[in-house]
Amino acid sequence: MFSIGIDIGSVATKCALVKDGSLIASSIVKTGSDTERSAEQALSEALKSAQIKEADAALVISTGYGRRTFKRAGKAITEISAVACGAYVLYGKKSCLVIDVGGQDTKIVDVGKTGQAADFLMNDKCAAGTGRFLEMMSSVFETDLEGLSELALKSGNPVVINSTCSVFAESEVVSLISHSIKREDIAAGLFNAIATRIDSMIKQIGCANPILFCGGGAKSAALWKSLKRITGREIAVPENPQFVAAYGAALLCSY
Amino acid sequence: MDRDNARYMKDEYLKIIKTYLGQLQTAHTPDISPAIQRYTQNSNLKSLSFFYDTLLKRSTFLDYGIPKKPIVGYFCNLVPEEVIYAAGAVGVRLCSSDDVCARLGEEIIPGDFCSMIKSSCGALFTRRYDNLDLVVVPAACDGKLKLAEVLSPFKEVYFLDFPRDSDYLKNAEIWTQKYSQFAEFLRKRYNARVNREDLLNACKLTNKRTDIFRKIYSLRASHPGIINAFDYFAIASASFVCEANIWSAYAEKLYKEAQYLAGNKPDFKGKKILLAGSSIIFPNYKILDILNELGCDISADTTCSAYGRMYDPVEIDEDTQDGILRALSLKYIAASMCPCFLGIDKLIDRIVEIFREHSLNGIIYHNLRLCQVFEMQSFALRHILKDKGLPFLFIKTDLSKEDTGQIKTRIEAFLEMMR
Ligand code: SF4
Ligand code: SF4
Repeated sequence: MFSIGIDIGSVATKCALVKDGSLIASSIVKTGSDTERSAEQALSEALKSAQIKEADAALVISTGYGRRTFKRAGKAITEISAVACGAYVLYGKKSCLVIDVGGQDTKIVDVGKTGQAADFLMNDKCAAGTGRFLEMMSSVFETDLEGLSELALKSGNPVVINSTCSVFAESEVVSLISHSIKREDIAAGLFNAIATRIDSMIKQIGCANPILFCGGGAKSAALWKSLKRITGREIAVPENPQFVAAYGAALLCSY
Repeated sequence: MDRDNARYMKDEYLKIIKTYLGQLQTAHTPDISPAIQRYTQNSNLKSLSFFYDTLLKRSTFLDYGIPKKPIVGYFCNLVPEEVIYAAGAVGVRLCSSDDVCARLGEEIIPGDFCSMIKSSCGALFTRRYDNLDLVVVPAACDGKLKLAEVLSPFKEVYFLDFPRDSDYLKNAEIWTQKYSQFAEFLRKRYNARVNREDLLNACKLTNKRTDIFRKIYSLRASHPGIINAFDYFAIASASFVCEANIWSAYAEKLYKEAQYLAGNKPDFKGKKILLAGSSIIFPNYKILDILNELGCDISADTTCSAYGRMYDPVEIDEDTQDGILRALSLKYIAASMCPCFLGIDKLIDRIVEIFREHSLNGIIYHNLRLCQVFEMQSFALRHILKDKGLPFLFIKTDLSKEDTGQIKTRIEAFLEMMR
């Protein structure tokens, strides 16, 4: 039997098909204004790529901010529990600490010995320090997250950027550009600013477990590098970092 | 008296401020009847109506203190209500978390103050304070201190100042002295006796209220949902604007009715939550709404608007006038869990005690956004309670509805954690 996890995030909707604990197919679509439709779309794409029928699936579990809108799901769980379970299994069923940088929120989840969240922290209500912030900064540089990340990796001398509020950071960046500071150094400064913020969240939770970095933000090598440097800790990034929550939701079907 | 309490500004300055504020528009007292209708929809307890009616008709204190008694408004849970009763006046607690008033308050004080302070200032522009004779502001946080100044052009204000180190041995004498000065002030102001006997009688009134409150508190903890959280905080908020003896009489009725129903109520299946942190005052029910939607009950609390206000009795060792005032300072100040005081142990001890006594499932620490003192405590609470194995969630929010979804996700995840 398969199980299906659908993670309806604020930016992207991810679907994971899982059999015997392994991910056998996945899909990702942009989350539209009709979140239910985005979920349907992600689901049918994943089923198509695996060439299986939904009827063969044991259960569909939805998660993410749009979890309740997907009425067909047998169950809805929060992205916090989903990501905890996904990370736990990926990490060989051991306690760990998850950094999840998503579209509209950044969360730190302390995953306990049983794979349940033992504690968690999420960013405050604004977009400071989230994927949305990175997206907005990328557009200041007329590129995307990947482009911004590549740029940052070339930096030899990152500037210090104080703000993780998208509005203030934007004016800080514009002023740095006008002072002819190298674009690479500004980009690297932005990643450092977010990493510093995440580091303080980790310290607030106060957890020494090994760290797993996931969510859309984990695709950025520059952010990963900043995080390792600033936290001074080893940080693992799983193969498909964006699918950890969807994967975890699918796994929870068998719990 | 070290200074004339009503005056924190020279006449010349007062005049300027009064003229300016006089130009600002007055607003209507916010109408709470839709909220009352909403929250009473599912109530099955008949005796609740008195409390909701009280909230509604007392929003401007028009019929309060009849037959004619002066109405003394006060903030916080640090002003001894008993001394006000002993002076032949009636006390009303003014703390409010009204969203409309909070927005009005932003016309005169900075937006980045907690909504409790903003709404207390904003209430100046509604008719809320019109019928008050005097306002007593205690030395809680800095916001409260400056509130005394902001209100002083309009009302006579008594600033009740005292040390904020909650060590009883160190400060009991000073607290007693401050309470005694307050009694002296009321004595002169109202030409009243405020003697030992008056104080003893007043303590009897509030102790009676404590008795009945405690019964309700344990009934709720043992039979979750029998008096739901909406109703619980409504009856507590009603006590702000209701004479202690009248409140007690109706609360007794409510208790009997609820107790009778408790016998045939099916077991509660949801999680039992302990709510600590900032006060919950009707109708600021955002957190209660979310918890209710998620099927759990606030079965106990430590907030200064309910538990903190009514749980502790006045315990008099020595029934001289000073002895009674000292006992009052013990009740209001030394036992206070208000974050404005130095000494967080009391709060932690109580949380652990209540949690274990009533076999609760989790603790939610609610922080009214922009209240720094509450927030500063969250770090210690998180780690100490976690270390003791008690599930803990920190929620920071204000009166607006925009973050409802986010708060809900956090609480939902917290409930999933407890499975
Ligand atoms: S917590 Fe303290 S400052 Fe805040 S309302 Fe209660 S008594 Fe006043
Ligand atoms: S909530 Fe905090 S800032 Fe506001 S009045 Fe109470 S103690 Fe002061």
